[in-house]
Amino acid sequence: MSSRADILGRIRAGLGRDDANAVAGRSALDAYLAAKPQGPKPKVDGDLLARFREKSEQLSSTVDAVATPQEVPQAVARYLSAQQLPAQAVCWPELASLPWQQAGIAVEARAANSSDLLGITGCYCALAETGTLVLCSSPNTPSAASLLPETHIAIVPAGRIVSGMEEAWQLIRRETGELPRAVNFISGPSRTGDIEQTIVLGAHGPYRVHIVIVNTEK
Amino acid sequence: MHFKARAGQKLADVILQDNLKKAKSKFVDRRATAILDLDDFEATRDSATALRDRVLNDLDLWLEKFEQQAAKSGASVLWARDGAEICWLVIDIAHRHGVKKAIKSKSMLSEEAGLNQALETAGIQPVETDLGEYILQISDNEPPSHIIAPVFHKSKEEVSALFARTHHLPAKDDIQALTREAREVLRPHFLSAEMGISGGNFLIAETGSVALVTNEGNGRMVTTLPKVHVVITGIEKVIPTLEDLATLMRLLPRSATGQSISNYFSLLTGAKQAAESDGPEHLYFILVDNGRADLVGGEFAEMLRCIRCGACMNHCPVYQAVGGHAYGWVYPGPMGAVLTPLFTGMQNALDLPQAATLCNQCGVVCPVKIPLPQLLLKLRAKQVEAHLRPFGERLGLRAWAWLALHPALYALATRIGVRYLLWLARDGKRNDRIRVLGVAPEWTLGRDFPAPEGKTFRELYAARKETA
Amino acid sequence: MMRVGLLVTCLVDMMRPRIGFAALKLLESTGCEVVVPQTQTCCGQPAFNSGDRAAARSLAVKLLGEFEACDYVVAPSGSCAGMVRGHYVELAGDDAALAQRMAALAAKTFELTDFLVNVAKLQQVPGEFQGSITYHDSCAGLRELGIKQQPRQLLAQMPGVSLNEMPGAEECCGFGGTFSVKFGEIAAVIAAKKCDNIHSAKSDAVVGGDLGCLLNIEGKLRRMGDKTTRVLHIAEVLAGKS
Repeated sequence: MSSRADILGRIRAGLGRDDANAVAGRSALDAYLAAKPQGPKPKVDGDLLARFREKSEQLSSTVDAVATPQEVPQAVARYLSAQQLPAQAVCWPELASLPWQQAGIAVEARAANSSDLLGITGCYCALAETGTLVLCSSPNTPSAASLLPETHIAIVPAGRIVSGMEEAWQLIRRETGELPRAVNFISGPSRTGDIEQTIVLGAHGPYRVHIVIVNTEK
Repeated sequence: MHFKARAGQKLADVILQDNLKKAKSKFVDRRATAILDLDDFEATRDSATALRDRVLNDLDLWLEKFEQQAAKSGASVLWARDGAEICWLVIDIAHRHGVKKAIKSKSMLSEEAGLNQALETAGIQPVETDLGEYILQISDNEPPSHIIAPVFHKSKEEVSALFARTHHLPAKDDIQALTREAREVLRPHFLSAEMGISGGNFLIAETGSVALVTNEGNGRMVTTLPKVHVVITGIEKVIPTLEDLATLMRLLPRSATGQSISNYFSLLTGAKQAAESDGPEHLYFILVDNGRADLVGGEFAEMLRCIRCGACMNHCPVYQAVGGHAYGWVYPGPMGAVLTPLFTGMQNALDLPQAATLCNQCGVVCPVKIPLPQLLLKLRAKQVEAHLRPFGERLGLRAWAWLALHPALYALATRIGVRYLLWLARDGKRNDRIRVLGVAPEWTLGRDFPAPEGKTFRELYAARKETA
Repeated sequence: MMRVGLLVTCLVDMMRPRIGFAALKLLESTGCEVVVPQTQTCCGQPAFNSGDRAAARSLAVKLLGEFEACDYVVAPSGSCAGMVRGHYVELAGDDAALAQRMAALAAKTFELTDFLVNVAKLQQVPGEFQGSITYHDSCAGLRELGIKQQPRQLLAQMPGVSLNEMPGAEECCGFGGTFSVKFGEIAAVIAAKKCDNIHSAKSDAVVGGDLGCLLNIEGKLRRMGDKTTRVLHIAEVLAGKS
């Protein structure tokens, strides 16, 4: 007997499964999948942007805001000079057209590698409930840019801030239909508490996460 | 060696006792604060409990659904009965893809299977990348002592000495520098490994995805950089929908480390697309039984709700006193005291269900409301039914119960008993305590036994009635 | 008049009869008729917790016969009251008629302070006590029966009492019934932590609602060399000197 048949067989024996209740069970399962009931959620209403900012900062991210996408490179340059970081970065291909050069930053739109010190990404959406960035992988939005460099800068359009994870799933289902290979939820710089339960930032991923919010609609 | 003997060693280990004291309250305090920002933590627990039960009550159907959806996304789904089969499957995949090195994100199933040793024997280098697991690997493959903080038992001084010895670098004395050193040592492994092995916090039936939660970012590295990704996870980890995932993710990090959300949380579906610059070309799921299938639908099925947060051990007075290694297998604390006998055989872990005060500090913090003390009590009953308790204990219990069913004899026995105890307590001065108690020698190892008043309530009450 | 059966508990019977008399006095002060079945021995919890369900069941049936006729059953112990309330129905097994009787018994069984506050609605605590107290919340009472505010509410009625809460008041003292004799060394380590917490509350007495915990705590305090901190049952404090 295959392991699969053996394992499923023993589960079925434990549950008293027969053909009749399997049919009923499958239709109940499909009904549940169609209904997608939500559990209790904390109230996240009012100003999503303000909540997102507050929660991000609590997670040790830093946050800046600009009015238009065109102003992002200047904001990035300000951050880099304040942090005394080199003005050199890798970015998502979809962000290549921003005026990086005018802001004095040398930006390459390609896959990140381990020698890149700064990765600039956008985001698919962001969660106000926890101050979390949601990044979806695709050829134009590769995962490594938010992971390998020591500093990660994420551009968040204010209109893409949703209240919680349920809203993010709904958005993905509505806009893209299928799930991308990777949906990465990023909540602040990488950290570990493994040694003496003492929190240290910068374990394997970035030491710093800087968020630039773009308030286009306002 | 049994729990009790191991626990005795741990109690005598001065460094360990010091480390346990330092570590304890951090998790407990952080969790207490973190649950406050859910408007209704209890309602969220109820909801999570119900959705875990929903899956377990139709586990075969949900697994079929998951398998179907995972296959549709391009992943391969394999099944393993036990640890040996896990090892065999992983090595087979490795050989098929010419893998020489495998980087690993924390997986308790890998511990159940002893996968690292098997990989090494097969000529494949396993590299643990979770900081804690890495420390254990270079510490001569020491087992973890906590399911989410594997080196809960070690001090930074011990880690510092270990790093200096292994990395041949000057010893560092602060945790920040030690973490940086591990990052620098491990980064080349991330870039050179052909295979990533991870556990899975949840499998989502709706989409055929795995959800992976980490703080360090190693989970993302392991599942982004190598060309092959193998997920090893228990069959009970499946949940229905992404909405259910949202509910559970409100509980898991809060219960585990007291975070409102973990730093990284990835939902991974299928292998990489042709035009993508990163992501694995091949994604495998190994769905593991190893004792789980037989619990489905039975009296211990509630244990399968477990989402491996570790809150039960963080709040357990026994775990806090002896640490995780005393429990002797992969899972320590209250959840381990239930799982170890169920997975490895009752006769192999006779002490564990007994090694609990039944205080239920675990049960009240469990995010999926597993009645851990009740399950321990059921295991104790099973031991008695299977005649696995020591003869002396069974006889003593039977004799006492028989006596308690015969009130006249019981009255006499207790009359004599309390007088004997009072006699033991005589020391000419206070006469208020017994320093060595022969009938219960364990008690007086570390405590006195307070002396009785000298007469039973029954006697005094009868006397009072007479005079009234 | 309400007929209340006093479940003395086996530990109180043997070790601290004065707690039984204090409970009796408190119950009588509420105007109840108190009966004390003379054949009572033990609720069966030690057998139950040791996995001997057959023995536990016989003792449960015995207790049922002794107390079934009472309007209420009250025990000066969260642990014993919790045994009756939480596990007796389970012990009835497939015997539906017995299960129903067990359920009825469970519904009218109370821990002492819970009964005084929530059923008898005691207006005036009869005893007097002068001094500072720190309160240990016993696990079974706290987590099985929700006993937390009841003893504090009663102590608050006593002008001579000042309550100093200790850190970790809700943490286990390490007693755990048979655990304390099977794993004595571990129990002693857990008890030592509890005693450190008690000392940090700098009180004349540590008070609790379960004698098992109190014997464990007293034994550890004395072994640590503390001969002055008094270890008292809540009933003793509330009833005062009899």
